[in-house]
Amino acid sequence: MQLSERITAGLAKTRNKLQMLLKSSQGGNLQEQLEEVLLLADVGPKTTTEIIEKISAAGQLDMEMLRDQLVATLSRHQPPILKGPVILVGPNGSGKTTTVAKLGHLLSRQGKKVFVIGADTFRAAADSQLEKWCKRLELNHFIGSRGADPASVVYDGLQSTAARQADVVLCDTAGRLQSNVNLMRELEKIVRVARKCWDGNITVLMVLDGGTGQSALEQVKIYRQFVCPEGLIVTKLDGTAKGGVVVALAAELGMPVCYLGVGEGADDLVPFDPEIFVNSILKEG
Amino acid sequence: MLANLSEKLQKALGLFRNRGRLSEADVKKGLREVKLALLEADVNYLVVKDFISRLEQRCVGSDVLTSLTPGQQVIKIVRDELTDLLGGQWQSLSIAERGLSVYMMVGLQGSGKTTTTVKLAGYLAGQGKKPLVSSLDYQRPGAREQLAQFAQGAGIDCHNPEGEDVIAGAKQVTAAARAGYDCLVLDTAGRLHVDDELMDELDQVRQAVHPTEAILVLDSMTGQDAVNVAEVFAKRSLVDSIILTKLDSDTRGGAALSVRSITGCPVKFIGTGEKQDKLEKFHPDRMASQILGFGDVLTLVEKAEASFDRGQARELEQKLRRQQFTLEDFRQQLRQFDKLGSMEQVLSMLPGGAKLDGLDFDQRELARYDAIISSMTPGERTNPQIINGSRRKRIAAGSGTSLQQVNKLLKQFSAMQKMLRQLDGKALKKGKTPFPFKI
Ligand SMILES: Nc1nc2c(ncn2[C@@H]2O[C@H](COP(=O)(O)OP(=O)(O)OP(=O)(O)O)[C@@H](O)[C@H]2O)c(=O)[nH]1
Ligand SMILES: Nc1nc2c(ncn2[C@@H]2O[C@H](COP(=O)(O)OP(=O)(O)OP(=O)(O)O)[C@@H](O)[C@H]2O)c(=O)[nH]1
Ligand SMILES: [Mg+2]
Ligand SMILES: [Mg+2]
Repeated sequence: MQLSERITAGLAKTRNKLQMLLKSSQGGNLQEQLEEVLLLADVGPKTTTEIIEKISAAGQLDMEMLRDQLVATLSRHQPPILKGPVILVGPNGSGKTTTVAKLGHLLSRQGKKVFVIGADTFRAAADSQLEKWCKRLELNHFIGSRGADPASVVYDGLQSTAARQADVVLCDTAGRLQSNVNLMRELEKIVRVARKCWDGNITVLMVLDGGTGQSALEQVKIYRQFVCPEGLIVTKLDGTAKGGVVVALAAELGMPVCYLGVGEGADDLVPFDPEIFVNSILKEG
Repeated sequence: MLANLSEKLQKALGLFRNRGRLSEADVKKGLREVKLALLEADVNYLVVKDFISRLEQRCVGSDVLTSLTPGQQVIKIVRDELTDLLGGQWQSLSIAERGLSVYMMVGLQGSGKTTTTVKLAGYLAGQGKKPLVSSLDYQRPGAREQLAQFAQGAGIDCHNPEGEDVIAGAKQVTAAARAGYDCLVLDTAGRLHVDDELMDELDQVRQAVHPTEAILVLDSMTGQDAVNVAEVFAKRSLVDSIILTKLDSDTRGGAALSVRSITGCPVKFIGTGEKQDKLEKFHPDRMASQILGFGDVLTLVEKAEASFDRGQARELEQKLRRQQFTLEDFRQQLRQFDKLGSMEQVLSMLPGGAKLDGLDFDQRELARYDAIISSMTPGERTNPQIINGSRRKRIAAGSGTSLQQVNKLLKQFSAMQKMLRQLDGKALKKGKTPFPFKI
């Protein structure tokens, strides 16, 4: 399936009470309708108001203008090119471990030499989860066991010959909320160690659950203070969540999106395409 | 928790507070701010719209505006409606009248089901029950190991069924549980509400085990989609109650307000951390108070009760009543403070909520305060009024701090005393014994 089909399939919305609410609420003016679409997609009140104001000021308020504006906002910043160590970070349960596997699979199919490091030494069975994925997808790996110091695991992994010979080294980390300062410091240290090992040439990517609402803004801001992620991977867009908060993240924080997760299978990761994404946001239902 | 929403709403309501007269336009303006605050907190757009129009009707339609204290009345209406939206009082977990109670955890991928399965079993064990946990997740790599390991660390029995068949496994483990346990918490694989095949599978599990409660585990950071998810699960009779997880993310959590109003199912617990003991009862009425800045003194009192020595608490209670709370007591309390949680959490539960100016504590300052108070004489500790300029200098030098820091502490202490006086002992008298924390 193509991404557009996948997303469309995922967006086949259920008929429910909400839809009824939605119907009864329609009939307002165009501006209200456009606002409603954006707000329901998690774009958030601030960015929604800004975008609507911008296109109103340009004279013409309609769906096409809105589409163009959204695409422009999402295309403004280029996602990084993945080379050397790539550390995946993010809140609990967002899909980091699965994304390491999917991304490893995608890159190795593109002919790249991939190596995987597992540095979630906290969560129960995090090691075996990643190990099972790596074995299934035949990815070379080095996985720290539960209770080990994650920064040391990253260091040891990056020092290995296999890592040195790889084109891309994908590194899984434990989930953590931005509100937990100790865990954020731990992550900072992991990233610092990796930077030292690779002369600073590493990439940090943040994995966000596509269902996340406006908390994503605070999350990304704080993550940025500690580890400077250069791009986002947004997961679970095969459901009914639209992931519109990435528009706010692009508009307010200049954060680009690299990939989208559209399922639990190994092949369910696709490069981000602003136009397809915007279409899925603006699609009814 | 929900600090952001609380702050914004209080600002919006500030437009009403202490207003002698309100015009219809004033109300509209205030309610617009309320609307924005709710939207930023991820309350579902349609729920917000509905909520605001109800508020508008009640505020403008009746004789509120012509009353003597229109501002107060509007705030009261907002509070009532918000409490209503959240769902009144805490509802306890249902228990089977006879035999085995079965709880079936369901929800989207990564919402926290496996973790919450063990937490809930821990809660049941704390209630004197004998729980067993079991995983029916054959989908996610390492899922069953995860449950087994987490359960083991928490001292909870785990029995994962043999084979690869979800329904057979469910039957097998329910039968096994009857033999030696009185509750069974079943973990299931994460799935999307739009995945009909996997949703059908859950229906079958439900029919096979007849759960006492099917519990929807929902990530509290979820945005607008929370209601879509909750509604589909509810329609399939897979939601008797809801547990919201990751509330320690401490920003929005508006999902809490939306899901209950859309599904009518109560949120019974919230998860506030990755560890086993991070599960709390969800009290909607208290939450509404907290959000609006009326404080959540009851939760604080309960927490304090759980973490303090009774005798000491009683003594402190006496002092609080007689308003004899001194800097010495303050220092004692500072030393116990860790057990209560961070200062911020505690403050957010107090009336006035996040907005206590002059009371903006920093956890690291606790140690400094301790040092400052320790450099005072006993007389100064009981009678801070005598601490004049030269005494302040001496105390600063003695504690290795600055004059400003000493001043700040004294100022905060006096703000605290003032606040205590305003609490008028209500929480103290209501049978809830002590009010034994330091503020
Ligand atoms: N439907 C869907 N599920 C996904 C997607 N990506 C990940 N998942 C599922 O989400 C759940 C959590 O994924 P993990 O990879 O374990 O998440 P994580 O961020 O590593 O979690 P922690 O390490 O516990 O913080 C798993 O059940 C995954 O199969 C996706 O794009 N779509
Ligand atoms: N900070 C925090 N993390 C939590 C909480 N509840 C669960 N988690 C974390 O969230 C992540 C996902 O939790 P799981 O219990 O694996 O979620 P799940 O729903 O079983 O995931 P799947 O089985 O893949 O669908 C883990 O990293 C947990 O430690 C919570 O209340 N607070
Ligand atoms: Mg992981
Ligand atoms: Mg699980």
